[in-house]
Amino acid sequence: MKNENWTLDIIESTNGMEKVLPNKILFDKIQNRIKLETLVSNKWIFLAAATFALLISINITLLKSSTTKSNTQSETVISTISTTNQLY
Amino acid sequence: MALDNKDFEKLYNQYSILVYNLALNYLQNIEDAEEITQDVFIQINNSISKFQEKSSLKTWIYRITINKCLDFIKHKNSQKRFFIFGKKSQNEFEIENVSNFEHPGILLENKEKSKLLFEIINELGENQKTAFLLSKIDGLSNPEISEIMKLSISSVESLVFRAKATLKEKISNKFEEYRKKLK
Repeated sequence: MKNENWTLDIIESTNGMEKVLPNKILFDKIQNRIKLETLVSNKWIFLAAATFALLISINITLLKSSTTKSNTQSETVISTISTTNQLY
Repeated sequence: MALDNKDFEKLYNQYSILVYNLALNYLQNIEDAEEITQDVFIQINNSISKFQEKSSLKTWIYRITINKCLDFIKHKNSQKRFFIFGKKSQNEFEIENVSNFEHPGILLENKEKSKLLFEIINELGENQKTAFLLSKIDGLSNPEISEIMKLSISSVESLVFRAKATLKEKISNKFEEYRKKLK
């Protein structure tokens, strides 16, 4: 019987429990984290855009230089053939 | 789209006590409960646009809080398993301290008893623990719990009943220890 009473006492020990108020600083902490997350996400968007732009500009530069190179090379070959006009 | 500052503050004032207390009952650690409260409100702010109003806002917030708490416990338990093979760290001491938790909202004369109760609540399975905490500590009705847990009312009734039975059995087993302590 004592055991039963004690068990019930333990189970009922949360009766009359009051709600606990969270720390007042918690709201500021949450707002700071939200601001930080927004900043970070903006930073990543900017970084991704910058990387993309850089890749495109590198590609364009490389394409341009390779086109100029191949033109010069073919011109050289043609000029060599036309001036010598000899096989041996 | 996220909430503007005014709406967010209003929402925080309305639900912060609910979220914080539920997290505190779940995790039995003030710092952890604060961390979960932060995570919950950040998620609310980020995904409020996805909230489809299929359930009430309160139910949705309850679900987010419970899921965050369960994830947190899983993460802590995995850390605990990891530490068995490694050196003791500060985190491990934190994990060990969980059972020494004294709930700040509990009446002084019940502190010792409730400490034991929370220790045994932690031994319950996820669903039984959730159902018991929502029913006994938060005072929600079975239909409300069934909506939050997405279970039928009869399943919730059964969960609460089994949780109480398990608790009674485990507490009863501790009675001898308690008597020896008194001597």
